[in-house]
Amino acid sequence: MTDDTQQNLDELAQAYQSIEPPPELLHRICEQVQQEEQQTSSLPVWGAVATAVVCVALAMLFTFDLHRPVDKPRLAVEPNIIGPNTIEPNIIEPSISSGDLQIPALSSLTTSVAPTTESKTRAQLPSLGDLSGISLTPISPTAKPPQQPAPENSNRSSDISTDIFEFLEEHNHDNTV
Amino acid sequence: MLQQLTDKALVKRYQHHDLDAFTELARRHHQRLYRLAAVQLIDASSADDVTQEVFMRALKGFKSFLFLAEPSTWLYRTTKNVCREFNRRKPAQVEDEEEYATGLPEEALASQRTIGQVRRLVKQLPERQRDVVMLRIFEELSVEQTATIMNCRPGTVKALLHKAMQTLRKNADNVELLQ
Repeated sequence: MTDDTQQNLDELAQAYQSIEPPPELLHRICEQVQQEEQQTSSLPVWGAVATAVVCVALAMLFTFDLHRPVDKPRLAVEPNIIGPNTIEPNIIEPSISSGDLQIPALSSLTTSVAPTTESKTRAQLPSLGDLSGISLTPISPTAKPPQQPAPENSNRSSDISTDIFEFLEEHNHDNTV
Repeated sequence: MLQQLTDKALVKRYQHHDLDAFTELARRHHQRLYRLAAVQLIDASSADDVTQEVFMRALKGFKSFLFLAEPSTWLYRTTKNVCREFNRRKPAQVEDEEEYATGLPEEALASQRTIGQVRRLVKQLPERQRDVVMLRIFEELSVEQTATIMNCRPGTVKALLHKAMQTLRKNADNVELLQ
């Protein structure tokens, strides 16, 4: 390195060292540091207050829940209990009652008949106590299967559907007139 | 009392909730950090903001400081990073320093001129060589400290310094900026 370059570099270094920050800079930094520290130190206080509130709320919740009568359901949702607003998919309430003139939805007409017949069939079945006297004999493989009696309610269901269609036709006729 | 403690001792005290120790750290280093920022920034007037931002980061960073390096090294490195962020935010719009300097008080004007002169010198160097000149020659840091700040080996610092001197010698006419 030449002497000139070294000298210039030294002078530049001196000039660099002479760069001074504004006198209020340190004061500003200290102020900001104190503000920041106050904010961060107040955070745990707020956290403690929030935790206490949550704890009290939880304690109250559990206290009321324990004093609840035994027959009433608890707050927790049990998986097997179906709430009052839950729609059971397999149960379709019959929409036609005697003397009721409201027209049911067409889609529900055929399905609404089924539970009625099914319930009747179930009602006709003997109870388990009545079957106690029947002796069970082994069935030979060559034996013919017992003949199934013709379903008694087949004519009845067709009668019901005929009635419904007649009712619908009449009603439609009334509407058109 | 606090003035006699080392930087590491001050950081340790700050970690035990002694805010005065942190204030002492700020008092010790704010001038150096300001100078470093003033030369590295495109807009030298943001040097105040950069210095403040560095100490705000130190306020959080020193709480979990592991003492793998000197606290001053951490501060220099953070200053470099913050300057880079500021330069990225502000495009090269304050190129005309003479125009910017008009309207400033006499003292501030002289300071701006000096910053301009140093900056013009370091501008002719690539970034890495510029950092070496500023840290090793202007700030008089050790080779090891410079290497830690620049995230390289001490040998690289020596090589970069040598190259920087060659560049300056080549542009010897341009170096006479102080006159």
